[in-house]
Amino acid sequence: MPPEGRLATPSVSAAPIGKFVECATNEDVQSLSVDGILAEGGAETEPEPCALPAVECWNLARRFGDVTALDGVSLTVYRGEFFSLLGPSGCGKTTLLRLLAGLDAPNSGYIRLLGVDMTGVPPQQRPVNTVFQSYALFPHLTVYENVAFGLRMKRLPEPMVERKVREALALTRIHGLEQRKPAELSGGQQQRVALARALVNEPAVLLLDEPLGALDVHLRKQLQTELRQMQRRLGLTFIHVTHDQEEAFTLSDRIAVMRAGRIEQVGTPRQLYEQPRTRFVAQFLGHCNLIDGTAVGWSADRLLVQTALGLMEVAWTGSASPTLPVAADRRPPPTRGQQLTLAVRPERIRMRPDQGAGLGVNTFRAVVEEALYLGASIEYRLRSAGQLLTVLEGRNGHETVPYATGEQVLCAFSPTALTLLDD
Amino acid sequence: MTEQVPPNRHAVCARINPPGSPPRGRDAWERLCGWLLCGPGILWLILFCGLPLLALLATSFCQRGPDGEIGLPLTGENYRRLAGFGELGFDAFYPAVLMRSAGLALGTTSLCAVIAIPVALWLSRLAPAYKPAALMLVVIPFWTNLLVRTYGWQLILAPDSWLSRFLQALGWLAPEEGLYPGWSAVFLGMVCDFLPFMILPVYAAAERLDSRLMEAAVDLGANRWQAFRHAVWPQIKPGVTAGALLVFLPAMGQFVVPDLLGGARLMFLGNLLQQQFGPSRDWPFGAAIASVALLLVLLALWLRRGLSGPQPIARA
Amino acid sequence: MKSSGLPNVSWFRGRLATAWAVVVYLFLYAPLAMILLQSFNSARYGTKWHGFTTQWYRNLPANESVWEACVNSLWLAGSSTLVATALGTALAYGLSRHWFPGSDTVLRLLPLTVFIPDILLGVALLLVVGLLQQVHAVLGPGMTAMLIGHVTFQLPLVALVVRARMATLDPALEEAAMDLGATRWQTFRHVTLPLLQPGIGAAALLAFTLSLDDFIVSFCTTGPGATTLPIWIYASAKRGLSPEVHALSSVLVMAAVALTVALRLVQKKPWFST
Repeated sequence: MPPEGRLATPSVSAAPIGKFVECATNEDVQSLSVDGILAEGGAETEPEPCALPAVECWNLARRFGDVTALDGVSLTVYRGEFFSLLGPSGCGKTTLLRLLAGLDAPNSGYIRLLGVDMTGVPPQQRPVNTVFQSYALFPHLTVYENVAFGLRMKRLPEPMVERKVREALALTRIHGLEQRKPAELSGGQQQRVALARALVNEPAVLLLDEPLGALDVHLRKQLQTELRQMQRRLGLTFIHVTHDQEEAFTLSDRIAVMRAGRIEQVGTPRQLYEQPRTRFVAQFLGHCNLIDGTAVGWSADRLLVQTALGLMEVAWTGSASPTLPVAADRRPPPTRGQQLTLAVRPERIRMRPDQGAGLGVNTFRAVVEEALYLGASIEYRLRSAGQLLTVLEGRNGHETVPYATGEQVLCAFSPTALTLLDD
Repeated sequence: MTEQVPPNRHAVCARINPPGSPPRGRDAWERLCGWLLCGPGILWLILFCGLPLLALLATSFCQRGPDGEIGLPLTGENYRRLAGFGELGFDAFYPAVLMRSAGLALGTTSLCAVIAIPVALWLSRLAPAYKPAALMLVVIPFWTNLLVRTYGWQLILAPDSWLSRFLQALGWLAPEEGLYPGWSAVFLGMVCDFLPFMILPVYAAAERLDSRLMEAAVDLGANRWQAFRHAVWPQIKPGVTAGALLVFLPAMGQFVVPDLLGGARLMFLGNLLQQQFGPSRDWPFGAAIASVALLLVLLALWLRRGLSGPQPIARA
Repeated sequence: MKSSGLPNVSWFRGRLATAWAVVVYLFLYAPLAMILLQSFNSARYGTKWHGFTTQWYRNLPANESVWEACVNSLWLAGSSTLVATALGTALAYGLSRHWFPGSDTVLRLLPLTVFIPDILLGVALLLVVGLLQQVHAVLGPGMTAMLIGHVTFQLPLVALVVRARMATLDPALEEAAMDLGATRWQTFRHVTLPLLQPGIGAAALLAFTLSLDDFIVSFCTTGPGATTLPIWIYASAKRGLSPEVHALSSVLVMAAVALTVALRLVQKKPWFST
């Protein structure tokens, strides 16, 4: 942990930061200690995570009676990151967000924001702000008053309030709606106001609870782009809750996939998709073929696994192959005879007509049971050695005749396409 | 580092407060705030509602002194007297008063229900343009002073009023006789008084009526009565029970209407109470009457709970 | 009826139902109309029409007992409403937002207190007041006792109405306020209270009207010099019909109509629409 003093040092001169942040750091550093931190985070032009953690959770648990909403969650989010909590409804992601905001208290575990323990710190005193799922705009206040709310509660002088509100409204592209009541706004406008209301307080971490959930697809795409750009420009830490895999992938630097109050896996979108660690992650993020097998030995840096489809070679990332998106696999290598599950994405399996040739590495024969035309691709349901497999054949240029039902094909995939699951 | 919160406390809070309520980490502070906010109100109700009712119950077991004061020893005499077993053998006077009051309350409730249900249904299906005005017209009498309305009935039913003279001319009433005072006047006054209490809850239930059910019933060949019985009635029943409670309980204790329209011959619970606490100065006996009435009220509330489950009272 | 396609479905929209509704409305308004009519009748005795006059209205202001009763009624209604609204709102807010030992019981008992017939509350208070009177005359029947009685029947109603309004509030609004840095008090002052205001207004108006209309509790706890309008009317009606009573009653009816309209405006026209 870096000392407090360094954290609070504003680095105003650094790098091209938004006007919004610049103002905050030049004149009202004294108003909030997070200003300085914000500016330092804002100095990062690259969205790459800084080494400094913004949020650290350790072993958080939250129980409501007999229901366990969070079950020992530990997590670190770095400054300047766009971090998503992804999972099906009821997985505890909103509960985690509420714990971070201080709207709920954990039964055990602790949270640190910018290195400071938040146990017992009420929401009013935390350097975070939330964009609520239903926006929770105050219906009796105008747009302007809504955005000014946080500043006025801190008793900032009115001219400063006005300047900051104008900047926040400009940042979120709200024009000419200042005197409207929330009920007179469209869903997209309400969303922007909720965002402006939170951002105007210059939080160290912005929490977003399914901020785009209530909007239609078109508007959602547009706001996703804006949200991402805004986060990069301001260099803020965003923690975003969603159940929409595509949204999480589009927006996030890193994602935590949650299930039943636990974090299943944390990683970049690419890591999660290509190197899922658990059955749940593999199947929650798109379709995945699972193949059971037994470890039989090693061939150079490849693990040999005996499966129903034949002997498979699996690239072991313990040897840090440059073709893989992840760093070295720190799991202990499987021992001989260990039961394993392998995962392979449908689009990583290549098909070719079976011309009676011998089988190479990671190659097997299969029969087409069903072919579904999806436009950009064709999805095949194959059966091989009693196992059903899904294969996605992209139509990238070359004219191929689609395989017919009942046709026998050869399937193959590279050793790096296979991932070893933990369970 | 770890903050240990007793889990069962959170279970209770999660039940009272909807999920998504402010944090309840600091329990002692939480409790203090609760007590400070609710304390005065609760204390007021205990002091000026709970304790007086208990005092009433206690007094009902006391005896009346020679000058009307409340005295010991404790006795069940008052209840025996109320049941009709006084010093002079069995006398049906007091039981009759109780029966009469119960009869009046029951009669008023059923009359109100019969009159109010068609009106409530009509209101619920009124064009939206007229509905607010029509509803307001139901509410206005409910806001006007009960005494004034009762007094108005006195004028309408007096022997020399137009209505009485019309009925006298028809030969339905003896000359120089009015409808007031008497049973019919009491019923007219009571029904007029309590009708809004029945119309409004039934209307609230009828508003939520699923008209598709009725259409389905008609589609399946039900006649009017069958459609009402099987499609409408089950849906408005909660409203009717709520309304019945709102009519029955106050009607039991109603004092003004029987007093002003019933005349001296008809004695009801309210008048009897007033007599015991007023001119007769037999407070212990009055307390016994009140205690029995309170018991009946609690019984009615308990029955209602059993009938249709705990429900929030209809909003006036 | 026959013309409207599905007579079975629309039977309570038909002419018969409308006629019934009209009869019921006439029935409800008959006593009020009669009072209003008689208040302009120049006959001193009886209900026979002798000609139009506004004399009884002109007599009213000169009648000192009416003035006194009027002042008493308004003072009683005003002060009891203030106390009941303050206590009831605090109770409703506390019960909705705080947990403390016993709050479950209070929530269960509160609706019950609304159902206790006025006359039972009246005689119970009379009993206590009568006993206390032997301790000191100040504690006896009179305006103070009436005030206590009125607040006692207003308080649970105010609490229930405000709580009902409270239940419609999105708890996320208060959370958002605290998330934005508002203290508990600021949250209450700037978010909860403005949003509750229509409910509190309606509850206060309800309490005020109930107090003005109340006869039984006042009658039980009244003392020397503590005459309210309903008590005055009751006494007059017991003595025999007098045209001044008609005029006064008509004024009260008009006041009730005005209050009803005011209540509608309060409920219908909130500062925002949700």
